[in-house]
Amino acid sequence: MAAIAFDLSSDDDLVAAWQRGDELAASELVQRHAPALGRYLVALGAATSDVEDILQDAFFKAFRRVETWSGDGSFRGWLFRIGANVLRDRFRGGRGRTVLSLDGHDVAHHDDPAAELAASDVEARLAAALLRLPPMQRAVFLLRAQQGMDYIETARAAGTTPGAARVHYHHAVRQLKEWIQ
Amino acid sequence: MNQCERMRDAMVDVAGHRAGWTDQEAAHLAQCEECRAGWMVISAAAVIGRTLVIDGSRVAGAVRQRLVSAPAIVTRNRWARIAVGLAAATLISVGLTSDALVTTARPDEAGAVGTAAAMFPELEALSEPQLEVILATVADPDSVLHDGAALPRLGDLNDKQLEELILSVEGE
Repeated sequence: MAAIAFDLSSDDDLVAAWQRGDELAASELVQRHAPALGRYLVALGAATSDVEDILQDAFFKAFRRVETWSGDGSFRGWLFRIGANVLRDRFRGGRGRTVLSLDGHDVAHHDDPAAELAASDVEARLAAALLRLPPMQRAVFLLRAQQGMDYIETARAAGTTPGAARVHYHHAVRQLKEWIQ
Repeated sequence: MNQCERMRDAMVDVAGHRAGWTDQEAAHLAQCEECRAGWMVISAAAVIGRTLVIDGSRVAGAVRQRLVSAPAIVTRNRWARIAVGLAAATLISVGLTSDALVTTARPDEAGAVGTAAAMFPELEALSEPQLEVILATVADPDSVLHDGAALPRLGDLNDKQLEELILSVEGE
C-alpha cells in the first residue's frame, strides 16, 4: 500500500487513518493544529508555560473520543472547542492563570526576546483587553479574528449558533475598540 | 449590511493575508474613523501570540505515549456493539435453531434487520430469525429466549470474560 502524503491529506483523511490505527496520522494532526490552538489558548488566558500541557490534554481527549466527532463540522472547530473546555476545566480546578489586570499585563515568556520586544503596544493592550470580555465574546472574537474561521465554524467551535456568533463578534469588536483606543 | 459591516468581515481576511483591500474598501477605510479603529483591533488580533513557540513534535510524542498507555475507553457505540456481540455469542452458545424462532420478520422490522447486518458484518452468517432475536435483545435487554432462559447481562460477566467479549466484537 502506498504511503499517505500526510502533509497533503485533509483532516478528515487523517482522522480516518488514525481510526484505522495509523499513529503517524495522529502525529500529523497534532503538528498541523497545535501552533494555532496554542495561540488561541494563550489569547483566551492560558499561561504560556502551561500551553503544551493543555495541548496534550486536548489532543488526547480528541483522539480518545474521535468517534463522537460527527464529521459534520470541521475537525479543527471540534478540536478548538475541546481545547477551550480543557482550559476552562483547568481554571475551575485552579490550575489556570488568573485574569490579568489591564495595568499589569502579564508578559508571556517567549523563546525570541527580540520578537517579544517588537510586539506592538496595540497588541499588548488588546491581549489585556481580551480578558475583560465575557468568555463567549472572547472566544468568538478570537476564533474569527485570530483564527480566521467563518461564522459557521466559529459557532461550532464556540458552542453557539452562527447568528449568535455574529452578534457576539460585533459586540466584542465594538467593546475592544473602545478599550484600546 | 452597510459598508462598515462589510468592512468588518473583510478585515478578517485581509488581516489573515487571505485577501487584499478592494479600491472601494481602501477608500472607505481612509475616510471612516470607526473602521480604522476596527482595523486596528482586528489586525492586532490576527497576530496576537505569533511569537509563541510550540514544539509540535514533542506534543505529538507525548500524546501518542498517553494514547498507548491509557486503558481503552468504552463509548456508547461500543457498548451497543458489545451488546449485539453478547447476544450473538449467546445464540451460538445455546445452539438455537431457526425452527425455535419466529420464522417471519414483520415488514417494518426487515429493514432494521438488514441495517443491523450491514453495521455488524460478523453477524452476516446468522439467519434472519436469529438476527431478529438479536435486534429484539438490543432494543429490549429484558427480553428472554423462548425456553425462558434469560440472556446473560454484561454485569454477569467477570472482567476477563468482558475483555474477551470486547476483543471478539472489535477484533482487536
